[in-house]
Amino acid sequence: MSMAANPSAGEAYASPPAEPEIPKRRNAELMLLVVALVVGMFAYANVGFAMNNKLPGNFWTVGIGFAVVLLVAHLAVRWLAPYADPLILPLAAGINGLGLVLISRLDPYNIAHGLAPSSGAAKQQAIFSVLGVLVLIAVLFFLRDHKVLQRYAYISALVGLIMIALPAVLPASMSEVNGARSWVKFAGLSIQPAEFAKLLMVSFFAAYLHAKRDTLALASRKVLGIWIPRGRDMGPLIVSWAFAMLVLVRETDLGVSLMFFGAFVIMLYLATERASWLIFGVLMFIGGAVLVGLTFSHVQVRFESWLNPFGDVTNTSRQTAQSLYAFANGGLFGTGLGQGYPYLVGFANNADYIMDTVGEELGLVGLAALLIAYGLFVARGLKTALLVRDPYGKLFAAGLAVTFALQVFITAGGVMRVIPLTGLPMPFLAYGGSALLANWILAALLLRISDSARRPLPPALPLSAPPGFYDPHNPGNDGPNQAVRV
Amino acid sequence: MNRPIKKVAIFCFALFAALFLEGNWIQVVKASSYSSHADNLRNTIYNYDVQRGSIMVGSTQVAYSKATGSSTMKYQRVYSNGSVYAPVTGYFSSEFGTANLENYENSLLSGKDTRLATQNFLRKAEGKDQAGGSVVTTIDAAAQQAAYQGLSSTLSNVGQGAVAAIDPKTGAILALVSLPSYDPNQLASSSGTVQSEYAKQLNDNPLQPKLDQALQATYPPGSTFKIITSAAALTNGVNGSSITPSSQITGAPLDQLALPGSTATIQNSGGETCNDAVLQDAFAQSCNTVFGYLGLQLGASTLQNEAEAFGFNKTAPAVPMQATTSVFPSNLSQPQVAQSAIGQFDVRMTPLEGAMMASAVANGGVIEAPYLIAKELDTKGNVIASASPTQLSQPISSTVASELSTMMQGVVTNGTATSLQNLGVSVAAKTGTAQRGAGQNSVAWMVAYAPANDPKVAVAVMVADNGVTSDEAFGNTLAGPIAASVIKAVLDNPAAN
Repeated sequence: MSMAANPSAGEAYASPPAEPEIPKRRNAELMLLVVALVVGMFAYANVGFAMNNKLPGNFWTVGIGFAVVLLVAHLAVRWLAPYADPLILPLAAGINGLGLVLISRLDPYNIAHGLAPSSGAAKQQAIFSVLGVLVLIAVLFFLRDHKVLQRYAYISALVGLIMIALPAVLPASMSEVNGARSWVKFAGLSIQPAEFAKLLMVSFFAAYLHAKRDTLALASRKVLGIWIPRGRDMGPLIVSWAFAMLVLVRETDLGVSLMFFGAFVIMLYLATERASWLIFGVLMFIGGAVLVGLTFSHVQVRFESWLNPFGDVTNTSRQTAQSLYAFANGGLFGTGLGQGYPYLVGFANNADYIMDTVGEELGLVGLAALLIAYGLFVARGLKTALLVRDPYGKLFAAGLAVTFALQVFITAGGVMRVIPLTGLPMPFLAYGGSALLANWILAALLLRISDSARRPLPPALPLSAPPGFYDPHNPGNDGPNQAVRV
Repeated sequence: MNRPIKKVAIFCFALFAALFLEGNWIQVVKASSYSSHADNLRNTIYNYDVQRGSIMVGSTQVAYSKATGSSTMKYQRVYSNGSVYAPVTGYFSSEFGTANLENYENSLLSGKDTRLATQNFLRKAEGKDQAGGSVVTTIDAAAQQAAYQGLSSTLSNVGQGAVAAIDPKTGAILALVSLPSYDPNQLASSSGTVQSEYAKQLNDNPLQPKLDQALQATYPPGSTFKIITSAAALTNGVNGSSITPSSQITGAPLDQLALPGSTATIQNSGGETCNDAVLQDAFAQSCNTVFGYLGLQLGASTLQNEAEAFGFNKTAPAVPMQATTSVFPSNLSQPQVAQSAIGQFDVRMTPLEGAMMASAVANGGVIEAPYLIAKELDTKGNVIASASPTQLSQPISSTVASELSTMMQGVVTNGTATSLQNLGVSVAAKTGTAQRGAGQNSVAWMVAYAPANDPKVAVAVMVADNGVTSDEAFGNTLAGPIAASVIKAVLDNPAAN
C-alpha cells in the first residue's frame, strides 16, 4: 500500500501507511474441515462395505452429526479466535475422525472378546469427541489471552506433579490397567492424568523458564567449548530428572517419563539457547534409564522385547511381535480397511496399538499420510511459536508442539520398535476419553496462541495526539494539558 | 528465541522421518520374513477367509470348504468319511496347522499358488472371496472303503494296521489306510476348545492315531522279505551256481537251522518240518529253515544289496507325503544274517514298501514312483497339472520278475495264502508273520498283486498288535481277507478295466 503513495503528488504529509490486511484464513479452514469430513466418511463407508457388504447403518446420522460438530467448532473459532491458524482445527478433526473409524472397525472383535464395552468403544469415543470440541470452544471462550496462564504457573506445576505422581502413589487396584500403572480409577471412571498434566507442566515450564532464562543462560562457564551451567542452576533439571525416574520406576511408564523430561529439556534449550542443557539432559536420561533398566525387572522386560521381539512370542514379547506382523502384513498399500487382522495384537488394539491398524489396513502409504498430518500439526504449533510476540507464548506454543511430537514419536516408535514399547495413547487417534479431551485442550491452546500471534496490533497512536492528550513529540503544541491545568 | 525453535523444528522432522524409515523397514524390507513366522496367526486365519479348494476322490469331495455365513471365519472345512481318508487328506486346523495333502498342497488349496494369481485377481476385482484350486487324488474309493472296513473289523479298536495299494503299472496309489484313525473334522472345528481337547486325546493315545501307519511306521516284514531273499538268489545264484525256482537248495535243513557261532536255532512256523528244499516249494510253504540257510549262503552284503535295490536304506519316495525309509541292518553276525533273510532281527519295512516290492514283481522288475495326486485343478475346475508316471527303480530283471511271479502265484495255489483263492483271477502273494520283542504281539502281513497275468493292483496289508497271540497271527488269516477284499474292489471297479 505504501508503494501506491505517490511522492510526486507533493503532499506535505503522506497519510500513515495502512497495516497490511492480515488474512484470517477462516474460509481455508472451512474447506479443510470439509476435506477432513469427506475423508473420514469415506473411510467409514469403506469399513462398512468391507466388513458387512453395506453402508454402516448409522452412516448418515454419523455424517451429519460429525458435520454439525465441525461446523459449530468452525463458527466458534471464527467468533472467538478469528486469526487462529487455519490448519490446527482440520488436522485435529481429521485425525480424530480417522481414529473413530479405526475404533469402530475394531469393535466387533473387541466386543466379542470383552475388550470393549458392549455398546462399542466407538460410541464412547464419539461422545468424548463431541465433548472435546465443546471443551475447545470453552477454552477459547474463557481464555481470551494465553498470557493469563502465566499467573498460575506454580499452581499448574503443583497440580501437574500431583497428577503425574498420583498413579504411582495409589494402590495398584486403583491405578493399574493391564500392567501399566498410569491410571486413576474411581467411581467406574478411568482417567489417564498424565494427559492433562502434560498441558499444566508445559505451561509451568514456559513460565518458569521465561522468568529464569537469563540466569540459566548466562551464568555459566565455558569448558572445552561447551557452556557448563553453575551447580545451583542444575537444580530444576535434577528435580525433573528425579521425577522422570520416579515415574519410570513406579509406573513402569517409560513413555510418560520420556515425554515430560524430553519436553522439559527441549524447552530449557529453547529458553537458554544453550546446547549444553540438551547434552546434560540426554546423558542423564540415558544413564538413568539404563540404571533403572538394570535394576528393575519390569523395565528390563520392555527392553528385552525391544531388542528381541521374537524371543518370547507367547508371553512377554507377544504384543511387540504381533504388532510387527500387522505392519508387515500391510506392506506398501495395506489390506484395505476392515480386511486385515490388526485386532490380533489383543489388549489395547484400539489404544496404544492403534497404529497397527493404520499400518496393516492402510499400508505404508496410509502411515506416511498420517505421519504427515501429525507433522503438520507440530509444524503449525512451532510456526505459532515463531510468530507469537511474547516469550512466554513462544515457549508455551513450542512446548506444546514438542510434547505432541514426542508423544507421537514415543507411541508410534514403541509400536514399530524404534524404541522400547511404552504406554502412551496416540494423540487424537487412540481410544481414551481423557487423552482425547486433553488433546482438544492442547489444540484450543494452540489456536488461542496463534490467534494472538497473527492478530494485528492495535493501530499505533497517530503522530499528533488528538486534542486533550499530551503529546511528548510536540510538547509546545497545545500548552500544558488539562490535567496540569487543574 | 526463534533460532532454537527452528532447530527444534528440524529435530521434530527427524523424529517423524525416523518413523517413516522404520515403516519402510518393517512394511517393505522385512515384510515377507515377518509374514513367514510360525507364530504369525495371519497365515492360518487368512486360510479361513479363503474358499479353500477341495480334495477329491474321483468326482467325490472328501475335503471341502463350506461357507459359514459369518464374516470372521468365512469358511468351515468339512471332511466326509473323515477317518477313512485321514491318511490322505490330513487336517486343516487353526490351532494345529495342517497335515498330509492339506499340508503338502496348501499353496494350491489356499489359492496362493501363482498359477491361480490371474483368476484370484479377477475374483478380487469382482468382490468375490479368494479361492483355492482342487486336488484330485489317485485313490480308488471302493478299494479305500474295503481296506478301511476290513482293517477296522479285524482290529476291532485294538492295535494298529495299514493298507497300501498301488497300481503297479503307473505307481498311482489306490488305497492308503491307517488304523487307528482320527476325525479331521474335530481338528478343523470352529471351536478352539474342541480342537485342543481332541488333539490332547489323540496325543495321549499310545496307538498314535495321527501316525500314518501305511507311510510312516515300520515293522519287521517277516516272511514277506523272502521275496527279496529269493530275488537275491535268483539274480546272483548260490555258491557260484545259478538257480531257478525249481532248484534244490542243497544242504538246507528242513526241520531246524542251527545258527553258526550260537546255540540258537531257526524253526519253522509251529515247529513244522518242510516238505522239501526246492526254492519255490520252500517259498510257498514259507519255510524258515531253507530261507535262513539260503541267507547264510548268499551272505550279508548280497542280501543288503538286494534289499537296497528294492528301496531299503534309501530315502523313501514322497507321494507327496514323505514316507519313512525301510531299513536293512548292516554289520550282521552270521545268526543275524539268517534271521534277516527271513525278515526278522532288525529288518523294518513300511506297508508302502511292501506294496512297492509286489509292484516290482508285477511290473517286470520295474517300480514306478508311487504318487497320490492325479490332477490339480484351478478355481474353476480346469486341469492345470496331471501326474505322469515315472520309473523309480528297477531292482530285478524281467526274468527274475517272472520267476518270482510264478513263485508268488504258487503261494496262493498251493501255499500259505489260501485266503486269496477263489477271487476269480490268478493272484500272486506272499504271507508274513513277524515276531517282535517280548510283550509285543506278532505282525501279520499279506503282500499280493492281481491279476497275475495283467496286474492292476499291488497291495500290502499289515496288522499289528491286534490282541491275538503270535501263533494265531498268521498273515493269511488276518491280513489275507483284507487284501482279498481290496483286490476284489479294484477289479470290480469298471474304471480299472
